[in-house]
Amino acid sequence: MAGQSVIGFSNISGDVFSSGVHSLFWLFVIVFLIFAAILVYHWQKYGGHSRTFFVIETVFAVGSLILGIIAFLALQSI
Amino acid sequence: MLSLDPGENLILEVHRHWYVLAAQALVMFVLAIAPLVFSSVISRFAPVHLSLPAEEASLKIFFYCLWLLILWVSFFVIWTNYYLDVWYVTDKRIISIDQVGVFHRKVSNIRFDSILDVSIEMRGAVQTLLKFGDIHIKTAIEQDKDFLMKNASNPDRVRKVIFDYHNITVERTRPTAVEDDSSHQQA
Repeated sequence: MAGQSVIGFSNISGDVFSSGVHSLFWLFVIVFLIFAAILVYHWQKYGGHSRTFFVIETVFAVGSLILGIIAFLALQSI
Repeated sequence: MLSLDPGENLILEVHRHWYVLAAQALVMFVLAIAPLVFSSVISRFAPVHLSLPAEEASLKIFFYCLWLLILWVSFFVIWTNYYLDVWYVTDKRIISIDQVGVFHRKVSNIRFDSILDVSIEMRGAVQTLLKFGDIHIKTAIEQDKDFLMKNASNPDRVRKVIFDYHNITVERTRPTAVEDDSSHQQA
């Protein structure tokens, strides 16, 4: 009955709330990927193949992936 | 990528001081932990019926991760602006790259013979102790506008290098001026 439950701090039904949060997540993912693509484009264009930009790209990608996975796992239990 | 003329050598690369980036990173860190502090304060002092039930912890984690992702991408935008905002001092000119925003970039060339004055400004104890400050370059070409590098590392050394190359350029052009004068006199 988890899907039919009512969220504690509102009167919205669980299904509607859950689908809203899922939509928000995927919208966020799209916007985030656009920003990430713009950043990586800049780093490629102005940084060339320098080591600094490679390190920064790696740190950015790993950090984003970890946070994204945690958010996705949390989303599954909403 | 920096492209130099044939025979042109890079002498100095001037970035803003790391303190500027560290200060912005600190603000990001405070913003990152703010929801945790706020949440713990609420749960400690608020009445029981206002606090969220324990089963909604995953919802809190979800929104907190989104918040961290926003801060994460913002930090890298700040780092990009910091890193790409640079002056390259070569033996022929100064290439000023002003990265204002992600899609706003200004690139200017300052030739040494057009430089009228170079001044530096270090304000306060932090700038004096950590050796960073603003560098202003006044040129003959754009007299109403200074070229400015804010919070540049080691501005005193940068000013000295620019003056040295300015003097070398002036010395190089001086014999030509004498030759011109003598040719005028002969005429």
